[in-house]
Amino acid sequence: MIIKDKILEVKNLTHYYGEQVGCEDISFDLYQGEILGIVGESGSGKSTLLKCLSGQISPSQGIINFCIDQNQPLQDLCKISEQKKRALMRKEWGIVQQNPRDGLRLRVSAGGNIAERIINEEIKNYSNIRHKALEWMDKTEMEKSRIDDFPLNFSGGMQQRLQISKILSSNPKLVYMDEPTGGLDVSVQAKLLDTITIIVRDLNVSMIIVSHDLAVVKFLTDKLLVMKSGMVVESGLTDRVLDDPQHSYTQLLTSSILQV
Amino acid sequence: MNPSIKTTNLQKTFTLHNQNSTELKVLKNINFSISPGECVALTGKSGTGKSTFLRMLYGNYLPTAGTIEVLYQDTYYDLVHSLEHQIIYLRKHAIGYVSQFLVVIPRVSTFDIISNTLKQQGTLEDGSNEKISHLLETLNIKKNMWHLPPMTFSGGEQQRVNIAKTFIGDYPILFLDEPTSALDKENTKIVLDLIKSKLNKNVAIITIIHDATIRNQICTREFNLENFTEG
Repeated sequence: MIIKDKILEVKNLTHYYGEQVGCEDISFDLYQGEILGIVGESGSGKSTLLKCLSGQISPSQGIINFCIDQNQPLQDLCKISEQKKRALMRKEWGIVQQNPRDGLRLRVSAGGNIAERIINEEIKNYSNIRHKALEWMDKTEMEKSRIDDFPLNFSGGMQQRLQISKILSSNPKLVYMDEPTGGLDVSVQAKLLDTITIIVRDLNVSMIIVSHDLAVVKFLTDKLLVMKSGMVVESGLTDRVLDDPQHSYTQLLTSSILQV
Repeated sequence: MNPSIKTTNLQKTFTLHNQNSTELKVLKNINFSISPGECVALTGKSGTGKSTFLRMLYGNYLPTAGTIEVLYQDTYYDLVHSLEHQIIYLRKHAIGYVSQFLVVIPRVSTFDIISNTLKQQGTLEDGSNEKISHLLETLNIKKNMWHLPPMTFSGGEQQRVNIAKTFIGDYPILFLDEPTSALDKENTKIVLDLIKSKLNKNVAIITIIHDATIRNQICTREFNLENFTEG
């Protein structure tokens, strides 16, 4: 009855920077449509883990198995060719960078940024691509009239919306987000979270979100990994981890939230 | 009839690591079961662990020991050892939870909050709008409020939206935490009637209601948690 496809399987993942531990002995599974949050203080290894998972750095040890084809067994990412990995990055994965300027071409129009991601696919016709770009700008609540403008002149919140449009437009299996609302002011942040929640619920996409903001993960994620000094100290259902934390570090984290 | 939920030697101790590892032993040795069509009231003084028990049954608190088995479509699921997405699935389909306070997502309208339950259960269809309208009318939520997010509603209105959100669904098990605490006499009666009709459909209901006169109108049995506290 309750069977879902596993799309990611991580076993004993470890990464060292020289002698320094980046992340150590991390194992978890991610299923279709699940949203995983990774929380922890600065330097706890969240971003290192995300970079390993998304193929931006090669881990020192461990296995990352990814579902490339539903009808085939999962494949170890560390063993596939660079070429295949790049193809995966273009379509099956999306990486939403913390700073939208890293994920966008600032001197290419907003529409062009989205087009770049979907042009490899079935749609090659110009007007169809433009139509799809407009559709995505609408979904992320951007003004459609800005389609021909350069994102260089967009506000931070708008740039982030554009980056999310771009990534989701290719209908990826798995999306990585690194502090998606970092650096935005509170009202913009709430609206963006709202947009993300509504879109993600409809798309049934799997996501891994790194954040140090517990309100963000409470709002967006199904399950959590709590990291400290490169290790996962606690994991489980998001509301369970936040409402009934077991590890001393998680207890410290949840008791540090100011009540508004 | 097979019980809808059964627990074996359920125990809960909170360990506060940052407060000199203080241990709060709240509940122990709970062997509880509830059958379809039963309405069990959790009783006991404030601080006995009524909410703690209910939260464990929902997977929100982690039991220190013991098991919780939940019946869904003729199969028992061990809530303590299920994967996260399985617990989420059970929450969407098997257990409906009416919390004391409505948790609202900004900008989502009252009507959409309720239809979302049907969407989650995969039962949203052509006739759904009528069904939702009927329930909102029954609960005295004025029509001109349906398209508004309930953030600005009164306590009683929010509580009725919260009830509608869960009662529109087809859950074989319901948890009701003080479902009438913010309601006047008239609306309390309406909610109690809705609860009775769920019981007639063989739903198993666990509730926390402080007011004994209200409790006695719907509950078939009381379960006193004071018998399971430690010293």
